Amino acid sequence: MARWISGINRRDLLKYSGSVVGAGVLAPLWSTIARTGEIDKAYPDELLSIDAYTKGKISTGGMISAANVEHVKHLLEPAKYHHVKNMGRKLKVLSTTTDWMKLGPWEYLEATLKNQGRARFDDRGNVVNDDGRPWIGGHPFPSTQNALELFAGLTLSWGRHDASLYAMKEYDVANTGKVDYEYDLVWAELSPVGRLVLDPKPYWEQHIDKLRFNTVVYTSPESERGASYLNIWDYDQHKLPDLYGYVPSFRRIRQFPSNQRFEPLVPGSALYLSDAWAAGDPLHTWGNYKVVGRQPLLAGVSGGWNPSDSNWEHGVHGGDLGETFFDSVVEMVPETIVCEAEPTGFSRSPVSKKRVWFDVRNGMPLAMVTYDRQGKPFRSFDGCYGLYDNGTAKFMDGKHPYWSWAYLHAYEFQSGRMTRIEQVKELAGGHISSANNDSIYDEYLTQAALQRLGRD
Amino acid sequence: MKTYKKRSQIACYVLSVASGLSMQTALADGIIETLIDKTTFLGQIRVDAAYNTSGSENPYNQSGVPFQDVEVSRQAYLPPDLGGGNWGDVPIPAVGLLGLNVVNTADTIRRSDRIPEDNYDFTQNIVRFNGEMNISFTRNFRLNAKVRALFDPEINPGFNALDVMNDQGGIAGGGGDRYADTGQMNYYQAKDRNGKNISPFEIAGRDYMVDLPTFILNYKTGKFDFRFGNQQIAWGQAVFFRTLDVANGLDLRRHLILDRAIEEYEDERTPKLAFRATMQATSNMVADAFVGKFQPDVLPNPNSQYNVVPAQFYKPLDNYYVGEYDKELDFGIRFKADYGNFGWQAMAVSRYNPLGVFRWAESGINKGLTPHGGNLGALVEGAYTSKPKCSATQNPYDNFCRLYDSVGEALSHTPFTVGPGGVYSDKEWFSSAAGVRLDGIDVLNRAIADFPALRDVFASPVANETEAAALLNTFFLGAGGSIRGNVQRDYYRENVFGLGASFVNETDDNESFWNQVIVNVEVQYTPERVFTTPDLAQNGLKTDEYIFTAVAEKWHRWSENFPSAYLVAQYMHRSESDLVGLHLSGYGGNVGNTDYKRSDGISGADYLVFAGFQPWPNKKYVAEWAILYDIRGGILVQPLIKWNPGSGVSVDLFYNYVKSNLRGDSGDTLMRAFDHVQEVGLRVSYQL
Repeated sequence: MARWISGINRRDLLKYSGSVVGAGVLAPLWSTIARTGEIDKAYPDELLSIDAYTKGKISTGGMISAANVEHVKHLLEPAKYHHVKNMGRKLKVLSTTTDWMKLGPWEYLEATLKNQGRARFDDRGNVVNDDGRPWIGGHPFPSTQNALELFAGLTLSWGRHDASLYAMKEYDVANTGKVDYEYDLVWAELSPVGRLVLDPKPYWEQHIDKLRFNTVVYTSPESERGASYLNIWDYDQHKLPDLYGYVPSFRRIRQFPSNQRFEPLVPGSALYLSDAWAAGDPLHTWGNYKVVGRQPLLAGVSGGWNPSDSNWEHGVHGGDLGETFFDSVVEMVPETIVCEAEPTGFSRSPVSKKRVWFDVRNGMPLAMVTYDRQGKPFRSFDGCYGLYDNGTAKFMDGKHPYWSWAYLHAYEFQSGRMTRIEQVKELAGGHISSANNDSIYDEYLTQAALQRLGRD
Repeated sequence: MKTYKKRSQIACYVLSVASGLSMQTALADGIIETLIDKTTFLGQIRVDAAYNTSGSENPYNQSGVPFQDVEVSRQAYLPPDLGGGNWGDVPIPAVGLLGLNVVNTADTIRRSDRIPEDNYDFTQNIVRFNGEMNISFTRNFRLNAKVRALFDPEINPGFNALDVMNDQGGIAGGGGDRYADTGQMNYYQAKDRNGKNISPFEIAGRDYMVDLPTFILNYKTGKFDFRFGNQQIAWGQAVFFRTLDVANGLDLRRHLILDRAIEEYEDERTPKLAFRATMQATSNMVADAFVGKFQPDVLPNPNSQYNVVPAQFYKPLDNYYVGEYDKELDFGIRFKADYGNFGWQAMAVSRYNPLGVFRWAESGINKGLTPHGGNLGALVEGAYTSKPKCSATQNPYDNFCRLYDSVGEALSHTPFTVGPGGVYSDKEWFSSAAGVRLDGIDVLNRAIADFPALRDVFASPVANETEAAALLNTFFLGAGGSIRGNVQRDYYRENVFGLGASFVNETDDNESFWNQVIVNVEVQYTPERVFTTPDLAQNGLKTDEYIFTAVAEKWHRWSENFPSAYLVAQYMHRSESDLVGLHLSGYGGNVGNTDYKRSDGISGADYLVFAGFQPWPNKKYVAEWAILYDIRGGILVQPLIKWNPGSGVSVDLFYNYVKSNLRGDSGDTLMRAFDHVQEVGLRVSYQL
């Protein structure tokens, strides 16, 4: 078992750590989930409750701020701690989500249970089904403790839906606290394999050799409107995606080199294509995957959706001008696996490695820190997932409430710039967030679509 | 949210105005409210300024033409048709009376003594608003309208024809709408010879223009996308080189082709009213077709900062409506397919060449030699009227007779008009002709051959420079100063075929510079393309043309700290015309204040481009550069720094450096046409 890297309560936790193999402290997590659908039997109270962990110094429903953040310093990745300690960020503490079916889209979690044990790596290192064909859906390695398998599961399905369209608003904040760039953008992703909802499933045979179609298109402001990037991923995870883009000033689509994955997409932004979902590049274009630790973490895995705003937009706070951070929620995630990987397939990448905190319950990344070539912290990412169901309002995805991410922060350690992005209901121009809508292929994921989305 | 609300308010206002003040019913309010919900509005204010650092004036404008400040001798000769042998054989002697020359048949002329001086320190001063409104009626159906409004605050008022109204009777109108010739400098209007706007979606005045570069209804369904309205269509992969980018013409009024190079022709493509259908034919192939109303290139007006037509001509009379070219359709189809590291494209377009063909035109201006030409003019007028009128079977070539009642009437049937601001000397004539790829002798003989009225007023073909000089100076003296030229523009249909292929180079070593180099080659073939001839002949020059372009692009990271630089190298070969579409047979003439040199043409044009940009981290700054090199020795260099400070502001600072004679003969290079341009430019944009 990898070492625990949370200092506090280490002695207490160590007494549990030898009791089971794999995730879970009191009991093996995966068999507990499979048996009960709950995770609480697998962990002690200290890992399920902030109250217990801090011995009452911070309570569920309370707020973590600079005044009390020292009590949970070891439950925060470095950037988030810095934000709270020094930049005025506040984190509202929610109760831990113990119902496993609330940790992802219903169909994905069902398939994870149903298909467990059927995945393997083929000779090329690609995840395949037991019949040797591409993976059929759900997480391929749900109980894994292995870094490569965690990244493989994440790379196979980013948003856990067959197709996702995210209407997004991006705010780029200077270290002075001023929002100096604002963008509206749309992110579309669609899987032709491992499909669970969209017909044909599990494969769109015409594209069975591909893993994903993915487009990001900027719709505002005018200076960047229509700028887009279409990534067509090969299923073979050694190959870089074909990359096409609409260049507004050229009024046409151009092919881009496929290794252009560490470039800021628009002025002021701290995001690269490589950053997407902490697994923005094909699996084997990175290497030296390894687990470097395990720890409980305060992270956003529920409650991030803001239905009180008609467009789901979030309140802001913190920074010198009170607009550096989205209003954020966190909860105790009892166990994360901390993994690292290096961009072995990219020359002159500005990143030397990335460290990702995976939630062992669903294999989703909760936070990521990248390091520059000198090994110094470069950028940090944290966000919030959750069901779009707060008990009184809900947004449906078929028969079940929509599960997705709600917002994210990307922070540059060295410049102090913050990029924050939220998923909104709709953007001007009729771009509406949705899941499993196969019309997004024609609307966003072809060259004709890029041309159409481009500047008129 | 703040921004969204502001935009909504603007949209509300726009729609309310559009709906009319009388629509005050609840129903109308409801419709407007619904439309507002479906409407987005974007706006941008931009200032473009450029300052001339060359100290040189535009050689096509009144203050800067060849021999502007040089004294040139002129001598009048007895025309061959009046028994003078060849032109230049028999000087007309000055007739003296009491010590005074009462018939002035020789003089020296300095053009700048007759034309007021103008300095264009600021070559560009434009305040512009770009606005866009998008109304999504349904998820699939929308209207998109862009408005572009420009105003020039006239920091350089430029040449004003009214300033020379007392010389040679001023610059006369007639024979068509002379909107750009007879008054103050006209920056923006572009009209047919009958005064109708060339662009149907444009309102323009002397110092402003408002147009709709985009006004489309767009319907999309599945793999299909349909657009109807005023629009731009850009095809091809080459940057700046328009090998397959043939659907639209160019509007060169604002900054010629000297805008930020990386933007390509975004502000220059002339939109056209068209129907365009795009289809994702297969997962790898896009089919794209259009049919649209032919819309020609728009050229800068005489004396405007980036004018490229000698101001000694009247603004070319455009036959767009008169010739019913406005009723003609362009249409084309393109297929483009990509298969990862390979791709291809093919296109066929039937269109009217938007540059058109220039040829001599009857002036239609009845203006004789007297009194402006003094006694020499009166002498010529007398000689003319002394000829008997030609009978039905006679002509001035074979008989000593006249076609018209007066020299003025005769001249109205020629391309030449008496008036100031034209050509004053033979030397100016030869050099100005060569400046626009014409040959001074051929163009003179062609006018004489094509317009019988010229022979009627004693012009006759010339065999060489000496004869041409004699003829020209005789006419200039007889006119009392200068003679202005008249040309017209017509258009010809052509079928353009294009093929292209792309390839992404992959190397085993991903550190290699050559890894991920994207190569595109494009070939255009146009049979029987019609060009302007170097003698301004009536039917143009018809010949097949092919254009070959190779493009290599690379995104390269020099360091870990900076994002990748974009590098592009291009090569273009053109078999018949230069980059702006003028036939190469007109190349090679003399340049500036030099003596006549025959425009004997060049055999092909070859250009190289090296361009790119290097963003800073976060793209807050971008260094850009573009170098266009004509292998015969001309160069255009444009370094640019772009600053994106945020908050909707962006600032571009650039320099345009043009030199036409790095080596070889500058008359053989493209840059000869605009080598007066050396300017530092500034663009400041603010997103509303």
